Amino acid sequence: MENESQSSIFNDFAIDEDLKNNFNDLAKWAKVNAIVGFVSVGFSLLTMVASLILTFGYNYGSSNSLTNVLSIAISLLLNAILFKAAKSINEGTATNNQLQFNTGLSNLAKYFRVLGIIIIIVLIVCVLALLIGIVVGLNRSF
Amino acid sequence: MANYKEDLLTTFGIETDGEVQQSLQEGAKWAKFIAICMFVCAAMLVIVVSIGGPLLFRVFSQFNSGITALGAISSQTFLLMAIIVVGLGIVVIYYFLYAFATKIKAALLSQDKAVLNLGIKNLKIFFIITSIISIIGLLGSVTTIFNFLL
Repeated sequence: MENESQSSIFNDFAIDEDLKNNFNDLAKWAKVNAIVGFVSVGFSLLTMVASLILTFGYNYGSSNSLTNVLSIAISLLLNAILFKAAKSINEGTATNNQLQFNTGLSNLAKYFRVLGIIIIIVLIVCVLALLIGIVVGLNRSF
Repeated sequence: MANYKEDLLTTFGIETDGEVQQSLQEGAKWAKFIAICMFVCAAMLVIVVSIGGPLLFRVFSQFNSGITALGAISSQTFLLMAIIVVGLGIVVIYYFLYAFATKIKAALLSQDKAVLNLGIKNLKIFFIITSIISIIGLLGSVTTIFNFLL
């Protein structure tokens, strides 16, 4: 079954080396991007822990820490999806496994979807903040 | 016509059940949305700084006592130029994401393998640029942390 799916779907794909190389390169760079993201998350975590230790007992920057935790969680989620996508695309093209390749591309689409949804949420928050600012400003002026 | 479409899909290595096609289409849709949002953000950044630049600079200089009145104008110009460069940088980077989205959509519509290749290449360039920028940013953070510790 697996052999059948590999040979029937990837026969022509193997011929088109250009497309295969492009997908491979894309996966490679997406992986680099995700790894750098993971390292950045690690550094952010370290910095956050260090600042928490330094300001321990002063309750200073607690809202800042909450924002940091949220951004770390989002970054971790996005990079995990991107890493999974890159890994699956790489394995799919290397072993001519259509299922892996499908999973990879589906994860790549998921990465863009999650990123898009986060952007929508950020935009909504910005618009709400702007509206609140305008309302507060108008109340103060009257 | 239907046979021709199926032949090209097979040449792509794309299953006729359309799973890959659907993923590419969805990815392209969201990529286009993200790119357009970033273009708007870059434009707003440049517009806000161009219009409210002097006010922003006054606020900025209140927090930075090192800026003297003599150097204020050149610093203001520098700040404006830096933000314009950042805005242009965002546009250039996200142009590749936008190109990926439009080319993938066009490739899926016309079943053109060359256009699909171009789309994938654009996404690759986008990832290359963002990776390099992330690495530079990471190195900057590491340097700052080490400078703080030493």
